Amino acid sequence: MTQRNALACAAARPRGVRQPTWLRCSRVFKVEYAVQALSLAGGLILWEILGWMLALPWLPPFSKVLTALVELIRNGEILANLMMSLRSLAVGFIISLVVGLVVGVLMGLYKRVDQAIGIYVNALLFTPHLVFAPIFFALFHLSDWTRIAVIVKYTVFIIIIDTATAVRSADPLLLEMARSFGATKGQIFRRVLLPASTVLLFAGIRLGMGRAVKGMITGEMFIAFVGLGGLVQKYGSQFDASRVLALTLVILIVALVMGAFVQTADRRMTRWAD
Amino acid sequence: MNGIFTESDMNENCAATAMLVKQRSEKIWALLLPAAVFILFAVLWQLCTINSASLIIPTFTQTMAGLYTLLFVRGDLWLALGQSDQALVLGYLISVLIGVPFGLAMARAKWLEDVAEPYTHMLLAMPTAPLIPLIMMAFGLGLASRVVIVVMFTFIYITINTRAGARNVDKSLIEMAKSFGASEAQIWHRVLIPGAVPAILTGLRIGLGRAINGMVAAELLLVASGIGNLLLEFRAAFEGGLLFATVFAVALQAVVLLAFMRALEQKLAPGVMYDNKSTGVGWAASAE
Repeated sequence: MTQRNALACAAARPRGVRQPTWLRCSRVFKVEYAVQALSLAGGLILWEILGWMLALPWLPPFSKVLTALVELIRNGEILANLMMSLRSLAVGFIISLVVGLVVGVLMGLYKRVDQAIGIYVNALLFTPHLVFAPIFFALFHLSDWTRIAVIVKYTVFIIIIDTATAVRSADPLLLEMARSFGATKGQIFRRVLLPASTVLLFAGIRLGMGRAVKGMITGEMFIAFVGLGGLVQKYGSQFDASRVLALTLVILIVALVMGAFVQTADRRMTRWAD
Repeated sequence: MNGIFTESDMNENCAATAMLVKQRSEKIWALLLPAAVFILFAVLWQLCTINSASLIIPTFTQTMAGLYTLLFVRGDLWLALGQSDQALVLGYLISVLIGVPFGLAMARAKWLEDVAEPYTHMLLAMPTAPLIPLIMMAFGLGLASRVVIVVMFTFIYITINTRAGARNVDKSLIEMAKSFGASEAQIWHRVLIPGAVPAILTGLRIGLGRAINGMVAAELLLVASGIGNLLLEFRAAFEGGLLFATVFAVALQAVVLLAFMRALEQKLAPGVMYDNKSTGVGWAASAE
Protein backbone atom coordinates (compact mmCIF):
# COMPACT_ATOMS: atom_id res chain seq x y z
CA MET A 1 0.00 0.00 0.00
CA THR A 2 2.72 2.42 0.96
CA GLN A 3 4.70 1.10 -1.94
CA ARG A 4 1.91 1.91 -4.30
CA ASN A 5 1.80 5.48 -3.08
CA ALA A 6 5.52 5.80 -3.29
CA LEU A 7 5.34 4.63 -6.88
CA ALA A 8 2.57 7.05 -7.71
CA CYS A 9 4.53 9.90 -6.19
CA ALA A 10 7.73 8.89 -7.89
CA ALA A 11 5.90 9.04 -11.19
CA ALA A 12 4.52 12.49 -10.45
CA ARG A 13 7.88 13.97 -9.48
CA PRO A 14 10.03 15.30 -12.30
CA ARG A 15 13.04 13.16 -12.99
CA GLY A 16 16.38 14.12 -11.61
CA VAL A 17 15.01 15.98 -8.62
CA ARG A 18 16.26 13.89 -5.77
CA GLN A 19 15.16 14.28 -2.23
CA PRO A 20 15.90 12.21 0.85
CA THR A 21 13.56 9.24 1.04
CA TRP A 22 11.76 10.41 4.14
CA LEU A 23 10.83 13.70 2.51
CA ARG A 24 9.31 12.20 -0.60
CA CYS A 25 5.54 12.20 -0.42
CA SER A 26 5.70 12.73 3.29
CA ARG A 27 2.13 13.98 3.39
CA VAL A 28 0.63 10.79 2.00
CA PHE A 29 2.68 8.72 4.39
CA LYS A 30 1.59 10.81 7.34
CA VAL A 31 -2.12 10.50 6.65
CA GLU A 32 -1.90 6.77 6.15
CA TYR A 33 0.28 6.13 9.17
CA ALA A 34 -1.83 8.45 11.27
CA VAL A 35 -4.98 6.50 10.43
CA GLN A 36 -3.23 3.24 11.22
CA ALA A 37 -1.80 4.50 14.50
CA LEU A 38 -5.19 5.91 15.48
CA SER A 39 -6.81 2.61 14.63
CA LEU A 40 -4.33 0.75 16.78
CA ALA A 41 -4.71 3.17 19.68
CA GLY A 42 -8.49 3.06 19.33
CA GLY A 43 -8.39 -0.71 19.42
CA LEU A 44 -6.33 -0.73 22.59
CA ILE A 45 -8.63 1.79 24.32
CA LEU A 46 -11.69 -0.18 23.26
CA TRP A 47 -10.06 -3.34 24.60
CA GLU A 48 -9.36 -1.61 27.94
CA ILE A 49 -12.91 -0.27 28.28
CA LEU A 50 -14.58 -3.52 27.21
CA GLY A 51 -12.27 -5.44 29.51
CA TRP A 52 -13.42 -3.45 32.55
CA MET A 53 -17.06 -3.20 31.51
CA LEU A 54 -17.74 -6.79 30.48
CA ALA A 55 -15.38 -8.35 33.04
CA LEU A 56 -15.18 -11.53 30.95
CA PRO A 57 -12.71 -14.09 32.23
CA TRP A 58 -11.14 -14.45 28.79
CA LEU A 59 -10.89 -10.73 28.04
CA PRO A 60 -8.90 -9.03 30.77
CA PRO A 61 -8.29 -5.30 30.21
CA PHE A 62 -5.10 -4.36 28.40
CA SER A 63 -3.58 -2.79 31.52
CA LYS A 64 -3.85 -6.10 33.36
CA VAL A 65 -2.15 -7.85 30.47
CA LEU A 66 0.71 -5.35 30.66
CA THR A 67 1.00 -5.90 34.43
CA ALA A 68 1.16 -9.64 33.83
CA LEU A 69 3.77 -9.08 31.15
CA VAL A 70 5.98 -7.02 33.47
CA GLU A 71 5.61 -9.64 36.16
CA LEU A 72 6.54 -12.46 33.78
CA ILE A 73 9.58 -10.51 32.62
CA ARG A 74 10.60 -9.72 36.22
CA ASN A 75 10.48 -13.30 37.45
CA GLY A 76 12.54 -14.38 34.46
CA GLU A 77 10.06 -16.89 33.11
CA ILE A 78 9.80 -15.20 29.73
CA LEU A 79 13.53 -14.76 29.23
CA ALA A 80 14.40 -18.37 30.09
CA ASN A 81 11.70 -19.81 27.85
CA LEU A 82 12.30 -17.30 25.08
CA MET A 83 15.91 -18.48 24.91
CA MET A 84 14.76 -22.11 24.68
CA SER A 85 12.32 -21.21 21.93
CA LEU A 86 14.78 -19.15 19.93
CA ARG A 87 17.43 -21.84 20.14
CA SER A 88 15.17 -24.47 18.63
CA LEU A 89 13.93 -21.89 16.11
CA ALA A 90 17.51 -21.18 15.02
CA VAL A 91 18.40 -24.87 14.67
CA GLY A 92 15.15 -25.69 12.89
CA PHE A 93 15.37 -22.74 10.55
CA ILE A 94 19.00 -23.37 9.63
CA ILE A 95 18.27 -27.04 8.89
CA SER A 96 15.29 -26.01 6.76
CA LEU A 97 17.33 -23.38 4.98
CA VAL A 98 20.19 -25.73 4.08
CA VAL A 99 17.96 -28.63 3.07
CA GLY A 100 15.51 -26.31 1.33
CA LEU A 101 18.13 -24.52 -0.73
CA VAL A 102 19.99 -27.68 -1.74
CA VAL A 103 16.91 -29.68 -2.67
CA GLY A 104 15.26 -26.64 -4.25
CA VAL A 105 18.27 -25.88 -6.44
CA LEU A 106 18.48 -29.53 -7.51
CA MET A 107 14.77 -29.53 -8.34
CA GLY A 108 15.12 -26.30 -10.26
CA LEU A 109 18.15 -27.41 -12.24
CA TYR A 110 17.32 -31.02 -13.02
CA LYS A 111 13.99 -32.00 -14.47
CA ARG A 112 14.37 -35.61 -13.35
CA VAL A 113 14.74 -34.60 -9.71
CA ASP A 114 11.65 -32.44 -10.04
CA GLN A 115 9.69 -35.32 -11.57
CA ALA A 116 10.86 -37.71 -8.89
CA ILE A 117 10.10 -35.74 -5.74
CA GLY A 118 8.03 -32.75 -6.90
CA ILE A 119 4.65 -34.27 -6.09
CA TYR A 120 5.77 -35.37 -2.63
CA VAL A 121 7.15 -31.94 -1.78
CA ASN A 122 3.92 -30.32 -2.93
CA ALA A 123 1.81 -32.81 -1.04
CA LEU A 124 3.80 -32.29 2.15
CA LEU A 125 3.53 -28.54 1.76
CA PHE A 126 -0.23 -28.80 1.80
CA THR A 127 -0.72 -31.39 4.52
CA PRO A 128 -1.54 -30.04 7.98
CA HIS A 129 1.75 -29.67 9.80
CA LEU A 130 0.82 -30.38 13.37
CA VAL A 131 -0.69 -33.77 12.60
CA PHE A 132 2.87 -35.05 12.19
CA ALA A 133 3.74 -34.01 15.73
CA PRO A 134 2.66 -37.37 17.22
CA ILE A 135 5.00 -39.10 14.77
CA PHE A 136 7.90 -36.82 15.69
CA PHE A 137 7.07 -37.42 19.32
CA ALA A 138 7.23 -41.18 18.75
CA LEU A 139 10.62 -40.78 17.06
CA PHE A 140 12.30 -38.24 19.33
CA HIS A 141 10.28 -38.36 22.57
CA LEU A 142 10.67 -35.30 24.79
CA SER A 143 14.02 -34.20 23.36
CA ASP A 144 14.51 -30.88 21.59
CA TRP A 145 14.42 -32.70 18.27
CA THR A 146 10.67 -33.17 18.42
CA ARG A 147 10.14 -29.41 18.43
CA ILE A 148 12.86 -28.86 15.87
CA ALA A 149 11.28 -31.47 13.59
CA VAL A 150 7.93 -29.67 13.82
CA ILE A 151 9.65 -26.40 12.86
CA VAL A 152 11.34 -28.09 9.90
CA LYS A 153 8.03 -29.60 8.76
CA TYR A 154 6.48 -26.13 8.80
CA THR A 155 9.39 -24.45 7.04
CA VAL A 156 11.34 -26.61 4.66
CA PHE A 157 8.79 -27.33 1.93
CA ILE A 158 7.92 -23.73 1.16
CA ILE A 159 11.65 -22.96 0.88
CA ILE A 160 12.20 -25.93 -1.45
CA ILE A 161 9.36 -24.95 -3.75
CA ASP A 162 10.20 -21.26 -3.89
CA THR A 163 13.88 -22.01 -4.46
CA ALA A 164 13.06 -24.34 -7.33
CA THR A 165 10.79 -21.70 -8.86
CA ALA A 166 13.45 -19.06 -8.36
CA VAL A 167 16.13 -21.13 -10.11
CA ARG A 168 13.76 -21.99 -12.96
CA SER A 169 12.80 -18.37 -13.44
CA ALA A 170 16.30 -17.28 -14.43
CA ASP A 171 16.27 -15.60 -17.81
CA PRO A 172 17.14 -18.22 -20.48
CA LEU A 173 18.80 -15.52 -22.58
CA LEU A 174 21.27 -14.83 -19.82
CA LEU A 175 22.04 -18.52 -19.50
CA GLU A 176 22.46 -18.80 -23.27
CA MET A 177 24.85 -15.88 -23.32
CA ALA A 178 26.92 -17.24 -20.45
CA ARG A 179 27.13 -20.57 -22.23
CA SER A 180 28.12 -19.04 -25.53
CA PHE A 181 30.90 -17.16 -23.80
CA GLY A 182 32.17 -20.50 -22.58
CA ALA A 183 31.17 -20.39 -18.94
CA THR A 184 31.42 -23.69 -17.09
CA LYS A 185 28.45 -25.17 -15.24
CA GLY A 186 29.82 -24.00 -11.92
CA GLN A 187 30.38 -20.51 -13.25
CA ILE A 188 26.89 -20.31 -14.70
CA PHE A 189 25.47 -21.38 -11.39
CA ARG A 190 27.49 -18.94 -9.30
CA ARG A 191 27.55 -15.96 -11.63
CA VAL A 192 24.21 -16.15 -13.41
CA LEU A 193 21.67 -18.44 -11.76
CA LEU A 194 22.29 -17.49 -8.16
CA PRO A 195 22.23 -13.70 -8.61
CA ALA A 196 19.26 -13.90 -10.98
CA SER A 197 17.20 -15.85 -8.50
CA THR A 198 18.04 -14.12 -5.21
CA VAL A 199 14.95 -11.91 -5.22
CA LEU A 200 12.55 -14.83 -5.54
CA LEU A 201 14.74 -16.92 -3.26
CA PHE A 202 14.24 -14.46 -0.46
CA ALA A 203 10.50 -14.51 -0.98
CA GLY A 204 10.64 -18.18 -0.04
CA ILE A 205 12.95 -17.58 2.89
CA ARG A 206 10.65 -14.86 4.23
CA LEU A 207 7.64 -17.15 4.02
CA GLY A 208 9.73 -19.87 5.62
CA MET A 209 10.64 -17.69 8.58
CA GLY A 210 7.00 -16.78 9.20
CA ARG A 211 6.12 -20.46 9.18
CA ALA A 212 9.08 -21.37 11.37
CA VAL A 213 7.85 -19.08 14.16
CA LYS A 214 4.41 -20.64 13.89
CA GLY A 215 5.89 -24.10 13.97
CA MET A 216 7.97 -23.20 17.00
CA ILE A 217 4.97 -22.02 19.03
CA THR A 218 2.61 -24.76 17.90
CA GLY A 219 5.17 -27.50 18.48
CA GLU A 220 5.88 -26.20 21.95
CA MET A 221 2.20 -26.04 22.73
CA PHE A 222 1.86 -29.64 21.63
CA ILE A 223 4.74 -30.80 23.84
CA ALA A 224 3.41 -28.44 26.57
CA PHE A 225 6.69 -28.59 28.42
CA VAL A 226 9.15 -25.89 27.44
CA GLY A 227 9.45 -22.64 25.56
CA LEU A 228 6.94 -19.84 25.10
CA GLY A 229 4.36 -22.28 23.76
CA GLY A 230 4.80 -24.44 26.84
CA LEU A 231 4.19 -21.38 29.03
CA VAL A 232 1.03 -20.58 27.07
CA GLN A 233 -0.27 -24.09 27.70
CA LYS A 234 0.68 -23.89 31.38
CA TYR A 235 -1.19 -20.64 32.03
CA GLY A 236 -3.98 -21.63 29.66
CA SER A 237 -4.70 -24.68 31.75
CA GLN A 238 -4.82 -22.40 34.82
CA PHE A 239 -7.36 -20.17 33.01
CA ASP A 240 -5.01 -17.22 33.45
CA ALA A 241 -6.07 -15.11 30.47
CA SER A 242 -3.88 -12.10 31.34
CA ARG A 243 -0.73 -14.16 31.23
CA VAL A 244 -1.78 -15.97 28.06
CA LEU A 245 -2.37 -12.62 26.37
CA ALA A 246 0.90 -11.24 27.72
CA LEU A 247 2.69 -14.23 26.19
CA THR A 248 0.77 -13.72 22.96
CA LEU A 249 2.15 -10.18 22.82
CA VAL A 250 5.68 -11.51 23.29
CA ILE A 251 5.10 -14.09 20.55
CA LEU A 252 3.77 -11.39 18.24
CA ILE A 253 6.90 -9.32 18.85
CA VAL A 254 9.12 -12.34 18.19
CA ALA A 255 7.26 -12.97 14.92
CA LEU A 256 7.57 -9.35 13.81
CA VAL A 257 11.26 -9.10 14.76
CA MET A 258 12.08 -12.31 12.91
CA GLY A 259 10.20 -11.04 9.86
CA ALA A 260 12.10 -7.75 9.99
CA PHE A 261 15.37 -9.64 10.38
CA VAL A 262 14.83 -11.63 7.19
CA GLN A 263 13.64 -8.52 5.39
CA THR A 264 16.81 -6.65 6.32
CA ALA A 265 18.93 -9.51 5.05
CA ASP A 266 16.82 -9.51 1.89
CA ARG A 267 17.33 -5.77 1.32
CA ARG A 268 21.05 -6.04 1.83
CA MET A 269 21.48 -8.89 -0.60
CA THR A 270 19.10 -7.72 -3.30
CA ARG A 271 19.75 -3.99 -3.17
CA TRP A 272 20.92 -4.02 -6.76
CA ALA A 273 17.53 -5.27 -7.94
CA ASP A 274 15.58 -2.14 -6.97
CA MET B 1 0.36 -33.96 -51.37
CA ASN B 2 0.48 -35.72 -54.71
CA GLY B 3 2.63 -38.60 -53.72
CA ILE B 4 5.86 -36.68 -53.79
CA PHE B 5 7.57 -36.17 -50.47
CA THR B 6 9.89 -33.28 -50.40
CA GLU B 7 12.82 -33.30 -48.11
CA SER B 8 11.23 -30.78 -45.80
CA ASP B 9 8.13 -32.98 -45.47
CA MET B 10 10.33 -35.86 -44.45
CA ASN B 11 12.11 -33.74 -41.93
CA GLU B 12 8.84 -32.51 -40.50
CA ASN B 13 7.56 -36.06 -40.25
CA CYS B 14 10.67 -37.23 -38.52
CA ALA B 15 10.58 -34.28 -36.17
CA ALA B 16 6.96 -34.94 -35.31
CA THR B 17 7.61 -38.60 -34.62
CA ALA B 18 10.62 -37.74 -32.54
CA MET B 19 8.49 -35.29 -30.56
CA LEU B 20 5.84 -37.93 -29.98
CA VAL B 21 8.40 -40.46 -28.81
CA LYS B 22 9.94 -37.88 -26.60
CA GLN B 23 6.61 -36.88 -25.11
CA ARG B 24 5.73 -40.46 -24.41
CA SER B 25 9.05 -41.17 -22.76
CA GLU B 26 8.59 -38.01 -20.68
CA LYS B 27 5.25 -39.32 -19.47
CA ILE B 28 6.80 -42.63 -18.55
CA TRP B 29 9.54 -40.86 -16.62
CA ALA B 30 6.99 -38.71 -14.82
CA LEU B 31 5.19 -41.85 -13.66
CA LEU B 32 8.18 -44.05 -13.05
CA LEU B 33 10.35 -41.71 -11.03
CA PRO B 34 7.82 -40.86 -8.27
CA ALA B 35 6.90 -44.54 -8.02
CA ALA B 36 10.56 -45.46 -7.67
CA VAL B 37 11.01 -42.84 -4.94
CA PHE B 38 8.00 -44.20 -3.08
CA ILE B 39 9.26 -47.78 -3.26
CA LEU B 40 12.71 -46.69 -2.13
CA PHE B 41 11.19 -44.81 0.79
CA ALA B 42 9.04 -47.78 1.78
CA VAL B 43 11.93 -50.23 1.59
CA LEU B 44 14.23 -47.97 3.60
CA TRP B 45 11.52 -47.46 6.23
CA GLN B 46 10.96 -51.20 6.42
CA LEU B 47 14.68 -51.95 6.73
CA CYS B 48 15.22 -49.29 9.40
CA THR B 49 12.36 -50.42 11.60
CA ILE B 50 12.12 -54.16 11.10
CA ASN B 51 14.65 -54.94 13.81
CA SER B 52 13.83 -52.04 16.09
CA ALA B 53 12.53 -52.85 19.53
CA SER B 54 10.41 -49.71 19.72
CA LEU B 55 6.75 -50.39 20.32
CA ILE B 56 5.55 -47.09 18.94
CA ILE B 57 7.51 -46.95 15.67
CA PRO B 58 5.88 -49.31 13.17
CA THR B 59 7.28 -50.79 9.99
CA PHE B 60 5.92 -49.69 6.65
CA THR B 61 3.83 -52.82 6.25
CA GLN B 62 2.39 -52.43 9.75
CA THR B 63 1.34 -48.90 8.86
CA MET B 64 -0.34 -49.98 5.65
CA ALA B 65 -2.05 -52.85 7.45
CA GLY B 66 -3.18 -50.34 10.08
CA LEU B 67 -4.63 -48.10 7.40
CA TYR B 68 -6.53 -51.04 5.95
CA THR B 69 -7.86 -52.01 9.37
CA LEU B 70 -8.95 -48.47 10.16
CA LEU B 71 -10.68 -47.93 6.86
CA PHE B 72 -12.30 -51.28 6.13
CA VAL B 73 -12.27 -53.48 9.24
CA ARG B 74 -12.85 -51.29 12.26
CA GLY B 75 -14.10 -48.35 10.26
CA ASP B 76 -13.67 -45.90 13.12
CA LEU B 77 -11.47 -43.68 11.00
CA TRP B 78 -14.53 -42.59 9.01
CA LEU B 79 -16.35 -41.72 12.19
CA ALA B 80 -13.41 -39.79 13.59
CA LEU B 81 -12.82 -37.92 10.35
CA GLY B 82 -16.51 -37.08 10.17
CA GLN B 83 -16.48 -35.70 13.67
CA SER B 84 -13.35 -33.62 13.11
CA ASP B 85 -14.55 -32.38 9.77
CA GLN B 86 -17.71 -30.89 11.28
CA ALA B 87 -15.57 -28.11 12.71
CA LEU B 88 -13.66 -27.86 9.45
CA VAL B 89 -16.77 -27.43 7.29
CA LEU B 90 -18.57 -25.00 9.60
CA GLY B 91 -15.47 -22.95 10.34
CA TYR B 92 -14.50 -22.80 6.68
CA LEU B 93 -17.95 -21.64 5.57
CA ILE B 94 -18.02 -18.93 8.24
CA SER B 95 -14.54 -17.82 7.21
CA VAL B 96 -15.63 -17.51 3.59
CA LEU B 97 -18.71 -15.53 4.60
CA ILE B 98 -16.57 -13.14 6.64
CA GLY B 99 -13.44 -13.05 4.51
CA VAL B 100 -14.76 -12.43 1.00
CA PRO B 101 -17.06 -9.43 1.75
CA PHE B 102 -14.50 -7.93 4.09
CA GLY B 103 -11.73 -8.22 1.51
CA LEU B 104 -13.91 -6.64 -1.19
CA ALA B 105 -14.92 -3.81 1.13
CA MET B 106 -11.28 -3.13 1.99
CA ALA B 107 -10.41 -2.88 -1.67
CA ARG B 108 -13.24 -0.39 -2.25
CA ALA B 109 -12.81 1.81 0.83
CA LYS B 110 -9.34 3.12 1.52
CA TRP B 111 -10.18 4.27 5.05
CA LEU B 112 -11.37 0.79 6.00
CA GLU B 113 -8.16 -0.70 4.69
CA ASP B 114 -6.09 1.77 6.69
CA VAL B 115 -8.07 1.15 9.84
CA ALA B 116 -7.78 -2.61 9.47
CA GLU B 117 -4.16 -2.60 8.32
CA PRO B 118 -2.44 -2.95 11.73
CA TYR B 119 -4.73 -5.83 12.60
CA THR B 120 -4.43 -7.67 9.30
CA HIS B 121 -0.67 -7.34 9.54
CA MET B 122 -0.69 -8.71 13.07
CA LEU B 123 -3.04 -11.57 12.27
CA LEU B 124 -0.86 -12.60 9.34
CA ALA B 125 2.42 -12.46 11.23
CA MET B 126 1.25 -14.01 14.45
CA PRO B 127 0.84 -17.70 15.18
CA THR B 128 -2.82 -18.38 15.94
CA ALA B 129 -2.23 -21.25 18.35
CA PRO B 130 -1.61 -19.13 21.51
CA LEU B 131 -5.19 -17.87 21.25
CA ILE B 132 -6.53 -21.40 21.67
CA PRO B 133 -6.61 -21.28 25.51
CA LEU B 134 -8.58 -18.02 25.36
CA ILE B 135 -11.05 -19.49 22.87
CA MET B 136 -11.48 -22.43 25.21
CA MET B 137 -12.25 -20.05 28.09
CA ALA B 138 -14.78 -18.22 25.96
CA PHE B 139 -16.51 -21.09 24.20
CA GLY B 140 -15.85 -24.18 26.28
CA LEU B 141 -14.61 -27.51 25.04
CA GLY B 142 -17.28 -28.30 22.47
CA LEU B 143 -17.82 -27.91 18.77
CA ALA B 144 -18.17 -24.11 19.06
CA SER B 145 -14.57 -23.75 20.22
CA ARG B 146 -13.25 -25.86 17.40
CA VAL B 147 -15.25 -23.90 14.85
CA VAL B 148 -13.94 -20.60 16.22
CA ILE B 149 -10.37 -21.89 16.09
CA VAL B 150 -10.80 -22.86 12.44
CA VAL B 151 -12.21 -19.40 11.70
CA MET B 152 -9.29 -17.70 13.48
CA PHE B 153 -6.85 -19.73 11.41
CA THR B 154 -8.61 -19.13 8.12
CA PHE B 155 -10.54 -15.93 7.51
CA ILE B 156 -7.61 -13.53 7.26
CA TYR B 157 -6.07 -15.46 4.38
CA ILE B 158 -9.31 -15.37 2.44
CA THR B 159 -9.66 -11.66 3.23
CA ILE B 160 -6.28 -10.56 1.98
CA ASN B 161 -6.40 -12.69 -1.16
CA THR B 162 -9.80 -11.26 -2.01
CA ARG B 163 -8.46 -7.78 -1.32
CA ALA B 164 -5.47 -8.38 -3.56
CA GLY B 165 -7.74 -9.58 -6.36
CA ALA B 166 -10.23 -6.75 -6.04
CA ARG B 167 -7.39 -4.23 -5.96
CA ASN B 168 -6.13 -5.62 -9.23
CA VAL B 169 -9.45 -4.95 -10.93
CA ASP B 170 -8.88 -2.28 -13.52
CA LYS B 171 -9.64 1.09 -11.94
CA SER B 172 -10.81 2.50 -15.26
CA LEU B 173 -13.55 -0.15 -15.45
CA ILE B 174 -14.90 1.03 -12.12
CA GLU B 175 -14.63 4.65 -13.24
CA MET B 176 -16.51 3.85 -16.40
CA ALA B 177 -19.25 1.98 -14.56
CA LYS B 178 -19.58 4.98 -12.26
CA SER B 179 -19.77 7.47 -15.09
CA PHE B 180 -22.53 5.39 -16.66
CA GLY B 181 -24.44 5.81 -13.43
CA ALA B 182 -23.85 2.42 -11.79
CA SER B 183 -24.74 2.23 -8.13
CA GLU B 184 -22.25 0.90 -5.58
CA ALA B 185 -24.18 -2.39 -5.50
CA GLN B 186 -23.97 -2.64 -9.28
CA ILE B 187 -20.26 -1.90 -9.25
CA TRP B 188 -19.74 -4.75 -6.80
CA HIS B 189 -21.95 -7.14 -8.68
CA ARG B 190 -20.86 -6.39 -12.24
CA VAL B 191 -17.25 -5.24 -11.95
CA LEU B 192 -15.59 -5.90 -8.62
CA ILE B 193 -16.65 -9.47 -7.90
CA PRO B 194 -16.23 -10.86 -11.44
CA GLY B 195 -12.80 -9.26 -11.66
CA ALA B 196 -11.71 -10.62 -8.32
CA VAL B 197 -12.90 -14.20 -8.88
CA PRO B 198 -9.52 -15.76 -9.71
CA ALA B 199 -7.90 -14.27 -6.62
CA ILE B 200 -10.90 -15.19 -4.49
CA LEU B 201 -10.56 -18.79 -5.66
CA THR B 202 -6.89 -18.78 -4.73
CA GLY B 203 -7.86 -17.35 -1.36
CA LEU B 204 -10.41 -20.11 -0.91
CA ARG B 205 -7.79 -22.75 -1.63
CA ILE B 206 -5.19 -21.27 0.69
CA GLY B 207 -7.93 -20.74 3.25
CA LEU B 208 -8.91 -24.40 3.03
CA GLY B 209 -5.32 -25.39 3.76
CA ARG B 210 -5.33 -23.11 6.77
CA ALA B 211 -8.69 -24.43 7.91
CA ILE B 212 -7.37 -27.99 7.90
CA ASN B 213 -4.39 -26.82 9.93
CA GLY B 214 -6.78 -25.14 12.36
CA MET B 215 -8.89 -28.26 12.63
CA VAL B 216 -5.83 -30.34 13.49
CA ALA B 217 -4.54 -27.74 15.96
CA ALA B 218 -7.91 -27.70 17.70
CA GLU B 219 -7.83 -31.49 17.94
CA LEU B 220 -4.28 -31.73 19.24
CA LEU B 221 -3.97 -28.60 21.38
CA LEU B 222 -7.44 -28.06 22.78
CA VAL B 223 -9.54 -31.12 23.19
CA ALA B 224 -9.22 -34.49 21.61
CA SER B 225 -12.28 -35.42 19.62
CA GLY B 226 -12.43 -37.35 16.40
CA ILE B 227 -8.94 -37.62 14.96
CA GLY B 228 -7.25 -36.21 18.03
CA ASN B 229 -9.00 -38.82 20.12
CA LEU B 230 -7.82 -41.64 17.88
CA LEU B 231 -4.24 -40.36 17.94
CA LEU B 232 -4.19 -40.20 21.74
CA GLU B 233 -5.83 -43.59 22.06
CA PHE B 234 -3.36 -45.30 19.74
CA ARG B 235 -0.41 -43.59 21.37
CA ALA B 236 -1.50 -44.72 24.81
CA ALA B 237 -2.05 -48.27 23.58
CA PHE B 238 1.32 -48.35 21.74
CA GLU B 239 -0.48 -49.10 18.49
CA GLY B 240 2.25 -47.59 16.31
CA GLY B 241 0.80 -48.92 13.07
CA LEU B 242 -2.62 -47.43 13.72
CA LEU B 243 -1.12 -44.16 14.97
CA PHE B 244 0.95 -43.63 11.83
CA ALA B 245 -1.95 -44.76 9.67
CA THR B 246 -4.23 -42.12 11.20
CA VAL B 247 -1.68 -39.38 10.54
CA PHE B 248 -1.34 -40.68 6.99
CA ALA B 249 -5.11 -40.62 6.50
CA VAL B 250 -5.44 -37.01 7.72
CA ALA B 251 -2.60 -35.93 5.45
CA LEU B 252 -4.17 -37.79 2.54
CA GLN B 253 -7.52 -36.12 3.11
CA ALA B 254 -5.85 -32.72 3.01
CA VAL B 255 -4.02 -33.51 -0.22
CA VAL B 256 -7.21 -34.75 -1.89
CA LEU B 257 -9.26 -31.73 -0.78
CA LEU B 258 -6.62 -29.26 -1.93
CA ALA B 259 -6.12 -31.03 -5.25
CA PHE B 260 -9.87 -30.73 -5.76
CA MET B 261 -9.77 -27.01 -4.98
CA ARG B 262 -6.90 -26.52 -7.41
CA ALA B 263 -8.80 -28.33 -10.14
CA LEU B 264 -11.84 -26.15 -9.44
CA GLU B 265 -9.68 -23.06 -9.63
CA GLN B 266 -8.24 -24.08 -12.97
CA LYS B 267 -11.68 -24.85 -14.35
CA LEU B 268 -13.34 -21.63 -13.22
CA ALA B 269 -10.44 -19.29 -13.83
CA PRO B 270 -8.20 -21.00 -16.33
CA GLY B 271 -4.83 -19.49 -16.94
CA VAL B 272 -4.97 -17.08 -14.05
CA MET B 273 -3.12 -18.81 -11.28
CA TYR B 274 -2.58 -16.23 -8.64
CA ASP B 275 0.38 -18.06 -7.22
CA ASN B 276 2.28 -15.90 -9.59
CA LYS B 277 5.45 -14.98 -7.89
CA SER B 278 6.54 -12.49 -10.47
CA THR B 279 3.61 -10.25 -9.56
CA GLY B 280 3.75 -11.16 -5.91
CA VAL B 281 -0.02 -10.99 -5.77
CA GLY B 282 -1.65 -13.89 -4.06
CA TRP B 283 1.63 -15.56 -3.33
CA ALA B 284 2.75 -12.94 -0.87
CA ALA B 285 -0.74 -13.14 0.48
CA SER B 286 -0.36 -16.83 1.08
CA ALA B 287 2.42 -16.15 3.55
CA GLU B 288 1.36 -18.38 6.33
